[in-house]
Formats: sequence, structure tokens, C-alpha cells
Amino acid sequence: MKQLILFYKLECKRIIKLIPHILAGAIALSLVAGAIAFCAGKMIYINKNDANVSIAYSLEDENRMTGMIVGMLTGSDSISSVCNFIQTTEKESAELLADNQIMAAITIPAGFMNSLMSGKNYSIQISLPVRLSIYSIILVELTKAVENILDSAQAGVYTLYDFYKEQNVLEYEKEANLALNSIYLTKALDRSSTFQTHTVSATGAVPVKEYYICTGVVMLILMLGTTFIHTLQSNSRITNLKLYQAGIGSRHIALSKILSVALALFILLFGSVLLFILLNALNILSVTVHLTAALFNTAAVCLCAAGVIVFIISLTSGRTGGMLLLFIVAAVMCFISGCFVPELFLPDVLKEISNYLPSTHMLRLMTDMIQNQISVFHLLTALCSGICLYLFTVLSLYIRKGARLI
Amino acid sequence: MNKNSYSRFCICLRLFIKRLLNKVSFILILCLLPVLSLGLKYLLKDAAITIRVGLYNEDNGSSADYIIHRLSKNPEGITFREFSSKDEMLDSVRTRKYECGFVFSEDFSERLSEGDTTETIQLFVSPGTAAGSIAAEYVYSEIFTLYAFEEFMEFIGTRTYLSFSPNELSSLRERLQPVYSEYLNSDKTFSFEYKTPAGIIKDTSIMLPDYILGSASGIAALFIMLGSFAGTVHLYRDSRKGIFYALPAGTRTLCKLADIFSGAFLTALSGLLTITICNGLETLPGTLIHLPVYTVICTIYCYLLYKLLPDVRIFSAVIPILIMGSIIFCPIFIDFSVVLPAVKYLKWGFLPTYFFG
Repeated sequence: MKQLILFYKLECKRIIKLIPHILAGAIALSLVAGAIAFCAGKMIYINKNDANVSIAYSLEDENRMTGMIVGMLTGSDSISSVCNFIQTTEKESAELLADNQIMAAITIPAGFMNSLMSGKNYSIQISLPVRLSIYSIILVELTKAVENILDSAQAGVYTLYDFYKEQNVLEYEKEANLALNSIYLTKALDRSSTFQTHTVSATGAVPVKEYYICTGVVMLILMLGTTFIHTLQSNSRITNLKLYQAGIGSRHIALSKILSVALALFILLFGSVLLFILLNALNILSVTVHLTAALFNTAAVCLCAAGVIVFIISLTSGRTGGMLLLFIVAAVMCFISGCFVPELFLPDVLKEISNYLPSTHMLRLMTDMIQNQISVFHLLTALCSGICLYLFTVLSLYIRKGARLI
Repeated sequence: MNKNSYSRFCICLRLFIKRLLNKVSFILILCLLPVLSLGLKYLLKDAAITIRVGLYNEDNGSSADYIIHRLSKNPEGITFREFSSKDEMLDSVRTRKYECGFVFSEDFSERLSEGDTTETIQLFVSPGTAAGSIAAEYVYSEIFTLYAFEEFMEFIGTRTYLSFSPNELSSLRERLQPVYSEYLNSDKTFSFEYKTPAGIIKDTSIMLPDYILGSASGIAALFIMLGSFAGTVHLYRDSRKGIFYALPAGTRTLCKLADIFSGAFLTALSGLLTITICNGLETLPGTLIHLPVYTVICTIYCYLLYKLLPDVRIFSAVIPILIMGSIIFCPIFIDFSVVLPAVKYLKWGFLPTYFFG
């Protein structure tokens, strides 16, 4: 028993010695992130709109209806809250798009309105960059909805023309057309007033900015496994043989690795939380942190992450393989959990799979921590995840018995 | 570089590559990324990407019924479903089974006929979703198909040069409704055309899968970067063992570069396969030019890090930071430089930028 405790202590000590190295790297990242935040803060102070993506539009057709089309697009709260609209020529917008200075370019071609009347039906062109972005996807969805609105307005205007022609009052048609368009445009610009928005609070649902901070932390914690590879795979065959002879088998080796990595991660993560609390107390930051919630959630996150890291490393014998495999597994898990692409855009199958992934459990615990909540269900699922990973690690060590063991 | 140096470099490279390929697990890991890409491509091809939105009708009239019926047939990426119970719909939104939900108020039809739809629909969203705005545009567009005709009737009823009695207006409504509907459903109306430098996008439903698969280039760039890091870790170990001292001074640097390049080269092959699977064979010529250049840049970058950082543990500690920095600052998933111009300069400090650049 004494030997066992000594073994666990030594393992913890070996891993914890790496913390200064990790901190040095984290400080480097903080400096970079701080520089970004400083620049961003300066920019936002100067002009809020500079922080938005830009969309250029060019009107080659001077028909009064085209002004309505632009109004419909720019008047959408959904689009205008994240985009700035700038008017340019077609040539200028092509150059800006190629230079990646704008997200999209909208062109209403010359003779557009006449083409609709004559049946040629020119389309409004939306040019997107070479590499599609998530903004492109959202813009396309929004313009499809706007298309419907424009169709309805145009149908009303056409019906007006036919009716005035039938009533022999075509001399009033031009003025009526303008007036009706103006009514439609006013209504379309005011469309957000139709909805009364309520936020349905749910455990784990946080605003977008906080969500991506949580995903960043989860990814970083998993990637920190590359720091531990060197130490986790440093035991020689002789050392492992001696450990087996001393009665310290795969179960204890696996458990000691997981606990020591979890402890190191906990010191780092909870240390950051305590730092936030201190900064809050000194009125440097205004972030509310509930200590108990942070303690439990952080511990569960670290246990889960340690399980993933140790299990992945146990599958390989070399450092190179371990590093690459950890990256692939972490990247794939985070992708399926919705860390990179919003979850709502992923196929249903992947959404189902994500419910069982450790990265999803970690993400939920992180969002609980931000909301200062403790969810027993989330804690239990993370614990189960950790236990499963421990069992898989033991199995992996048994299968690779005699090979280079961690 | 003379002939002897070159031959020593080739021998070292061959040996380092052989050392890596001797491990079956390493070969399996190299094959893992292309296999996963193939699986993802197959999944995106056949699987539906649906954004689920709930609808609940409290309206006393028929307008909401009409709108809900049209929305339920929506062929685009959003699936609208009418719930029989408001609580059930709210519960689905709360548990994120549905992204958001709309409730049409009791007086919706009445208020629509008066031309005032202010706050006639309640929208329930959970905080983290972006689907509320998109779904609201679709819902409003259907409301507008009814509103536009109502407003038209209201308009002609108030013109001084046209005077109609209430009965005449009523019969006009019946006569003009089909005319309006015919124009609404005809092809003499607006359409948007989406295009990229590669050409016109005929089927916009492929955009989202293409965007997801397009991220494979970024993942491959990260993978190659990591391969160089792995090669650098080997370099630290080989340097400690002193294997390079046997080599002449002039060749030492080249052979150290070969140690790093061995890891980068093998992961580049895996990356090439991944990119070709995800983006198609038409991207192969461009990739065959980009990839070798990027691999060499990764090798040189890692060699400079090796010179700067004395210990392998410090180097290993920097790796997660470089990976995270690459994901944030490089245009792998989202190009933050479009929103934050400062990123445009900082991203050149991270390797994947050179792949996209």
C-alpha cells in the first residue's frame, strides 16, 4: 500500500513539474490575445461598424424599384446587425471581393426591371468569395427569405398596373406605383416589430461569445495533452516490468496517469478561475464567479480531459503517433461537438453522436460554470465518461502488454 | 549545397522516414485523416442538414393556418413543424431539439387585415442559437404574401379617383386575388443568382456541405504543421543522443532539417489525400503546388523554433498555443480578419496562413 501511494505521488509530481512550461506558453498566448483585444477595443471605440463584415452593392439599373430591393436587404435586422453595406461600382466590388475586403457583392444588372417585364428575367447577382465562409451561408439563407418578400411586393405592383389599366386610370398609375412601393418598403423595413422575442433559458445555453470562449478552453485543454506526451511515454520497458513485479499493474498505471494529468489541468484551470475572482475583487474585471460551481465543474472537466488524453496516448507507442492521434481525435470531437461550425448546421447523425462525446460533456460543464450553475446530470455524465475512458485505457494497456507502456 | 551534402541529406531523410514508417500505428494514423474525410463526405452527401423550427397557432382566423401550411412545405434547409401544444413546443426549444418556436397570437388575422402586425407573433429562442433571425425572415416573408394583397386592397379602396362601395370592394377582392396569386407564383418575379469565381452555384443546398468539406484544407494544414512539430521533437531527442556529431559541420544543418522534414513530408501526403477527397480532383494541381511549398515553410519555421527553444519540454508546451493560435487567427473555419483587421497582420505568425496565402 505504501509503495502504491508513493507511486501515485511520484506520478503526480512528474506531471505537475510541467506546469511552469505550460504557463510560459499560456502567457505568450495571453499577450497575443491581449494585443488583439486592445486593437479591437480601439477600433470599436472609433466606429462600431468597423467591427462588422462588409457587403458591397452596385446598382446598374436606375429603376425606382431597384432602390426598394436594396432597402429590403439592408433593412433586415438580421443582416444589418452584422454587416455594413457600401455602394460601389461593379468593377470596384469585384476588386474588393478578390482582395477579401468584403464578404459578398450584390449587383443589380442594367435593364433588370425591363427584363422582368419582357420575360428575359435577369437575376440579381450575389458574388461570393473563393472560400465560402459561415457568413456566406447565412447571407444566402436570408436572401432566399427576402426573395419571397420582393416577389409579393412585385405581384402587388403588377396587379395594380393591370387593375388601373382595366379601370382606364393609367395616368395615375405612376404615382400610385410609387406610393404602393413606399408602403411596402416601410412595412418590410419594420418587419422586426412583428416579433416579440423571448429567450428561453436552458441549462448550457449561453450567448454566442461566451459559447466560443468555452469551446476555445475545451480545445486548449485537450491540446495540452501534447505537453504531457513526453512525460507520459517516458517509462522504459524495464521500469514498467519492475512496476509490474512490485504489484503495480495496468489499472494503477492508468489511474495514476489520469489522476496526475487531471490534477495538473485542475491546477491550471482552477488557478485561472481564482485569478478572475481576485481581479473581480480588485474591481479590475466585473465577472461573477461562483466558487462552488467553478470547483465542481472544473474538476469534472479536467477529469474528462485527462481521460481522453491518457487513453489516446495509451493507444500509441511513439511520441509522434501520440501527438498526431491526439490532434485528430481532439479536432474531430470538437468539430462534432459544434466547436468550429455551429451545431445547427451539422447533419442530424453528427448531432446524435455528439451527445456521447467527452468533448460535448466538457463543453456543457464549461457553460454551466459560466452560468454559475451546478448540473448533477452533467457532472454524472462527465464522471461516467471519465470512468469509461479509464477502462478503455486499462484495456489498451493489457492489449499492448509487453510493448512500450505508459 | 555540394553533391556529398545532398547525398547525406537524402540518406538521412530516407532513414528518418523509414524510422517513422516502421511503426504500424503511425501508418494507421496517417490513413485516419483521409478515411475520416471520406466518411464525412459520404455523411454530408446523404444526410439532411435541418434546422428545426416549431410553430403554434392561437389565431382565431385563417391567416395563420395558411402561413403555417405554406411554411410546413418549405423546401429549403429549415423544417417548420406545427405543434399541438404550446408547452410541448417550448420544451422542445428549451432542450434544443428545436432551435426556436413561433406562436401566432389570437388576433393575428384581424390585425393583419388592418395592416398592423406589430408584436402579433411571439418568437421563443434559446440564447446560443443564430437560427431565430433566419427563421424569422422566412416567417415574415410568408406573412408578407398576405400583407401585400391586403395593403393593395386597402390602397385602391382609399384612392379618390376610384370610388367603390363596400360590396364592390368585396367582389373586387374575390376577382383580384387570383390575379395577385398568379403573379406571385409566376416566373416573372425576382430571383437571386449566387456565384463564386469557380462559377454559378446552381444548387445552394450544396453550399453548406461544401463549406464544411472546404475546412478540410485547414485541418490538413494544421496536420502538416503538427507533423513538423513531431519531427522537431525527434530532432531534440536525436540531438541529445549526439547522432549529428558524426556528420561534417556543413551537412549537420541539412540533416537536422531532414529530421523535421520527415514528419512534415509524411503528414503532407496524408493531407494531400484528404484535400483531394474533400475538394475534388480539380483542386489537385493547385494543391500539388501549394503543399510542397507549405511543407518546406513548416520545416524552416520549426527549425527556427528548435534554435530558439532550448528544451523539448518548453517546445512541447508551446505546441498547444501554436495550434490554438492557428485555429483563431488563420482562416481555417472563420476568417476573423474580415471583422478584426488587426488579425490580418498577426495571422502571418502562424503557419496555416502560408498555406492559404
